Amino acid sequence: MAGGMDLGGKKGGKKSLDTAINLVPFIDLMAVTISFLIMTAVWNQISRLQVSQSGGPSENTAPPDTKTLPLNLLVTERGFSISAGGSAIEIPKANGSYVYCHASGPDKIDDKCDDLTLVGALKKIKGDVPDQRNITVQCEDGVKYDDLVKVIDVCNLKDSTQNPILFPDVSVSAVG
Amino acid sequence: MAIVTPGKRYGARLQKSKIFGKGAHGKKGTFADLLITPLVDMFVIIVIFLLQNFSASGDILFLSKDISLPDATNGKDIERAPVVQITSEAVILEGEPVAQIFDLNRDEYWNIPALEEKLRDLKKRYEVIHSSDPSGGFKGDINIQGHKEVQFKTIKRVMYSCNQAGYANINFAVMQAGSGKPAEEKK
Repeated sequence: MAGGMDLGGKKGGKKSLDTAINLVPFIDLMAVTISFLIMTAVWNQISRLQVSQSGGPSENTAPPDTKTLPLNLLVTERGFSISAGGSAIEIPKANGSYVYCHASGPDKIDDKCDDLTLVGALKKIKGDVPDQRNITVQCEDGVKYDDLVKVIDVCNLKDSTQNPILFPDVSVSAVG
Repeated sequence: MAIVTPGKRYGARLQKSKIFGKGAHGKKGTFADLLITPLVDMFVIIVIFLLQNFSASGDILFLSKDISLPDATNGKDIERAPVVQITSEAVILEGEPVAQIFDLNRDEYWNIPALEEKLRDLKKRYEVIHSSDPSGGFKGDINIQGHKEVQFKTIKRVMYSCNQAGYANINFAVMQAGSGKPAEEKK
């Protein structure tokens, strides 16, 4: 041999260095994997909102803090009523829907919520009492589950770093 | 005489001519090579996309056509726990109906006796199974999977029954809305 490595093969002949990778088993594997993943795919992401019944134990049992106040959010078929300490805020429904942040779009929540909306009022209370984490949501019998969940979702509002900015320890109780 | 296509016909002498006859193109090869590279690329992209979206939380709760979950953006990851489903017509514990909404609307109790009894049984069973496991103590977690149109008067009775049976950590199952990020981050 004159230079180069002996690659074996036929005596005296040069073997070509071009090799073809057999892609058929690879494609088979891909096809099986894709079929499996599509069959087991879950397109709906389900999550949970943790609540406790008023007076019941909670997961985040913090020691009682003197810098908190009794905070109640009453959800009626007419709107919201927030009582914090001695003050009360009424947030009636607008155009038949609850006012979470804007009267025009109840599902849009941003930084521009005014004080006469649920998010705005809760943010104002949180600003006055930063250590407050508990809130009791009282519901009337006729309130729909969807509206209750939206209220709890607002109470669990988080910032961009996933830290709660309002009242994450939510207790739910009935009116009366 | 055979029927031939209209057109120029050369004599037998020029039939094999490369210029005038049929010998101009020769025989076309019958072997067609498929381009596999784009196919493999596509497969790889699909597999990566599907793996990224793979989630096992769908095995914990099964979506029923009778239950349309409410949307929420600030939920936590769901965990395995007994599931109470509340449809417009019935209350179902672990796939077994325990009460009808029509019957619940007629009585004035705070609890649902059948649900409470079955939950107590579940709790006992859990404690027996985990009696030898010190880390597997009973936490009292329960998932409530309610239809969004159900009224709170039904929800409160289910919650009260859960609480009475020892399941105090109540979790409302919700559909993760949007990208899973808080609503404030969207703008």
